[in-house]
Amino acid sequence: MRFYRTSGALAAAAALLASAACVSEEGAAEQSDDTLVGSGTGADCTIEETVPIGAVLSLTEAAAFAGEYQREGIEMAFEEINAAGGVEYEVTYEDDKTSLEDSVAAFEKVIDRDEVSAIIGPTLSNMAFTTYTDSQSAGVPTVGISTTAEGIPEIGDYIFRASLPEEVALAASIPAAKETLGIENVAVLYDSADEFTDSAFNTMTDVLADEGVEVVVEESFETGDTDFSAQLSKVQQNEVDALILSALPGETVPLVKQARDLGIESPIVGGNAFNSPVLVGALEDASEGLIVGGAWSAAADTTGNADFIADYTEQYDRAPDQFAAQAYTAAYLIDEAVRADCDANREAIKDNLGQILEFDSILGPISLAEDGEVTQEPFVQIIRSGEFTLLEG
Amino acid sequence: MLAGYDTLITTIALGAILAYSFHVVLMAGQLSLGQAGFAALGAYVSTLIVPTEPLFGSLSPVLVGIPVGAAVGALAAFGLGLPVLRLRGVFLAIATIAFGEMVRVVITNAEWTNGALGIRVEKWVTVDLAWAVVAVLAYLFWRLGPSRTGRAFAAVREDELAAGSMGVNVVRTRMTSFVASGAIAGVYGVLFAYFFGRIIPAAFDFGLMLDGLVTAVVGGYLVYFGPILGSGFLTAVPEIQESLGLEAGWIHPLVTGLLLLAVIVFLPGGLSSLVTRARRRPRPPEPDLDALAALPPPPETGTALVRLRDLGKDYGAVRAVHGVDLEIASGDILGVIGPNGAGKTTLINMISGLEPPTTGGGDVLGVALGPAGGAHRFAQAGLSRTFQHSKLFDRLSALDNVLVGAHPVTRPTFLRRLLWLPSARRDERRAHALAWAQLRRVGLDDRAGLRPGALSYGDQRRLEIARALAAHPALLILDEPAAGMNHVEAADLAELIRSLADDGITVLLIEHNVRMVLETCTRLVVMNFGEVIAAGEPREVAADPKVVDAYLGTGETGENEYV
Repeated sequence: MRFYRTSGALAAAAALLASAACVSEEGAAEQSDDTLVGSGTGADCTIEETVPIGAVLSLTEAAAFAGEYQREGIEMAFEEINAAGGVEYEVTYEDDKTSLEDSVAAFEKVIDRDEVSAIIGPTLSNMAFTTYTDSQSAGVPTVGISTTAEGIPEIGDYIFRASLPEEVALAASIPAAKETLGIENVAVLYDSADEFTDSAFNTMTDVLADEGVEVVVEESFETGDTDFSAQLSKVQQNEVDALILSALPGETVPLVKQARDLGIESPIVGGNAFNSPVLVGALEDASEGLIVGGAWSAAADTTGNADFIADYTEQYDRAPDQFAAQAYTAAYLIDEAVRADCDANREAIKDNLGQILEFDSILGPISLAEDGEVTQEPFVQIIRSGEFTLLEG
Repeated sequence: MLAGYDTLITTIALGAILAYSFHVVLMAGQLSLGQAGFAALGAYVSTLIVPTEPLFGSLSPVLVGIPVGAAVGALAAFGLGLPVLRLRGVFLAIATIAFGEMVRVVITNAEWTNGALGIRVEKWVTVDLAWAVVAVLAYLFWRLGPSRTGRAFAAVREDELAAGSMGVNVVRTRMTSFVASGAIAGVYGVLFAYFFGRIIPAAFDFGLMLDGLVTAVVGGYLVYFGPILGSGFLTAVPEIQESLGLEAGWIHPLVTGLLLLAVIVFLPGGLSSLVTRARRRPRPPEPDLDALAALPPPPETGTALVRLRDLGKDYGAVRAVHGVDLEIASGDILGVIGPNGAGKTTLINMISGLEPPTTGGGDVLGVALGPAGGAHRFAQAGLSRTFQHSKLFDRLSALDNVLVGAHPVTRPTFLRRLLWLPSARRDERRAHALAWAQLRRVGLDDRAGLRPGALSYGDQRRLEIARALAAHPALLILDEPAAGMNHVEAADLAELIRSLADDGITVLLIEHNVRMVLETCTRLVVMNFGEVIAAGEPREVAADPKVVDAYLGTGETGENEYV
């Protein structure tokens, strides 16, 4: 008897192992829901059913500095859109705790359990590289709002981003700084441990070469470092006209402070990470003279920008930053795509996102290409007396 | 069926696998925390080897990666173990954490690993595959627990000195657990990489180590399914909170932290102790006289078992023992008496291989005294002992304590238990028969399921004797076995010792109860200030004026009360 019981268990275990070892090739499930198709087009579009949207953001841990602004930006945009009527959206917010595991789990939840029509997020490119392959294979249109690293749209045809690539922002800020300040040689410092800052570094080197600016110091550090004196003293030894920095906000604050404390007075040029009022607040006086290339400027005279800043400040008791502005814009882009055919199914949203041309947003006219890449004019700003002002040549 | 929960369920499996790599070292009492390093090595090396296409059309390429990861992890653990396993406790923890950090830094800076940006791979690991690995691990640990190897792990965890004295090769056991931990961590690394499709050095950081350790401890490392419980609990708690509508970011970690604290405080054995509390009492089997009869007969009476020449031990300038020449022949009941600090315990520690002598030498049961080797070699040669202060395995039942004692006279059963070979079952049954026979002999068979802490002091001393006897020793060393016993218990003990002699066991007895020594021993050695001051027939030695002066003293009448 015992022998039969044992061998039965072994056979079952073997069967489990054999099936577990197989890989299945499942394609994206084509599903279309007629209740998500409405009547009318554009502003007149009316859809009976509530349209589910998923927002996967880093609301806690390391990247929460951005995630909270993004959540508020998305929230405010959909409140406005819902108030305008016709199409009602319901957003499920998921916190990825700035970790890869939780990000993957959150994407799976909004895709399979909440069955959302589209996803906004995640906060970091690092996670997007893994999670976007999931939304791509599930066939869910996904709009990145701060995933600026190289290669994100190339993941697939369901992947879009409303976040100006770092390379474009920097490509604009370096020539502008050169033109207005007459920069000839620079020091470059970058975070080599982050996908986004590392790809930005590559862009910088290219742009600097194109502009004929000489790089005399090139130093790297890693996310989480707190002491930059070794790198900065090299900068100090070589008199440079400007310091170009590719770093996340966490490292930007101590680095800039330490640079100013060491007596490095040259202008500091940076990318997206600089573009936040919080950063200016944290840096206090040290922020003076920072040059920022970004996708949005509080000083810009774009459609609805002044109202956006006023409403946001009133609702959340703090000034918006670029993260909030881009997240806000992404919500409007999705709404635009839904209204184009008055169809909130995944396929329709995906097709129409790729058709958005010169949409008038708070970021200025913005276009999404079929391959998912965003096109917009970058803004170059300089911080003077603690205020962002547009740097104009 | 479980659409939308795949990642969650797989995360539980991965957490359990990681926890198993901590489980196996904690089982053997080693606070080794280098698993993040082993996992990183396993993951990265496997990306060099795992094919990019399914095998034979449909088999997951990870099937190649798993053994590679295990081998890489095991090799790395072996290499690291050679130097660091000399360390214990918190020092071992620090050294192994340092290793993990080193691996991370090297990988971050290496070219082939693509530095901090990491490597992207295909997502080949499915829910089923991850759980199949968990099933295999659970099976291995289920079969390991009640095997001879499993008991060796437990003995080393509870008390390394006592484990060595019971014939367990402590160094090898620690290394085994260390290498197994490396192998499991390597497998975890491979599964992690091919489930998330991405590896970066930052994934294998201090936090990963902490997660694995907490999961293993919360689940409980005394039971084979502890890691699965721990991982399920730690993954489920945040999910349940979410479904209950607890939204705010900081509440999750707080509630999870409080639950963790509750588990640690109220369930020191982890969650699994909830299950094992209900475990039934072991029932004694029918006495199996064949098992006892089949043991080898004791050495012939009069054979020299111990020969010591000019043996000495210095601790710096303190000469604990010097110039001891001693011979113990089979059949002797040798008493060693002397004042506290006379060097009695140091002498028997040298004889049982716990301390190497600094001068002189000798051999015990054919094993030469010396710096090399360890106590287990003497135990395997037929020496068994008790300790002045009981060194019982506190978290094992009385029966399991005695089963560890049977280590030298049993064969390894783990591998045969994996295959359910009948010979393993026979061997385990025989070990149990031997253990029960000794428990009956000392009168503890009705308390076999209790832990030593629940036994009275006298019972603990008897349990230690039973454990020593389970090794079927040719030479039994008893270090103050009657200490703390009342005179009835001491008389019973004297009776027991005499019956051991009748069975042909040679006994070396250290005791302060001089009356008992004189009644039981056939020879007597008296030590003072590290030297033997008298030896010979007990009554004659007791009458020796030097002995009276140094130790026995005289009664009020001036008469020697022992002669």
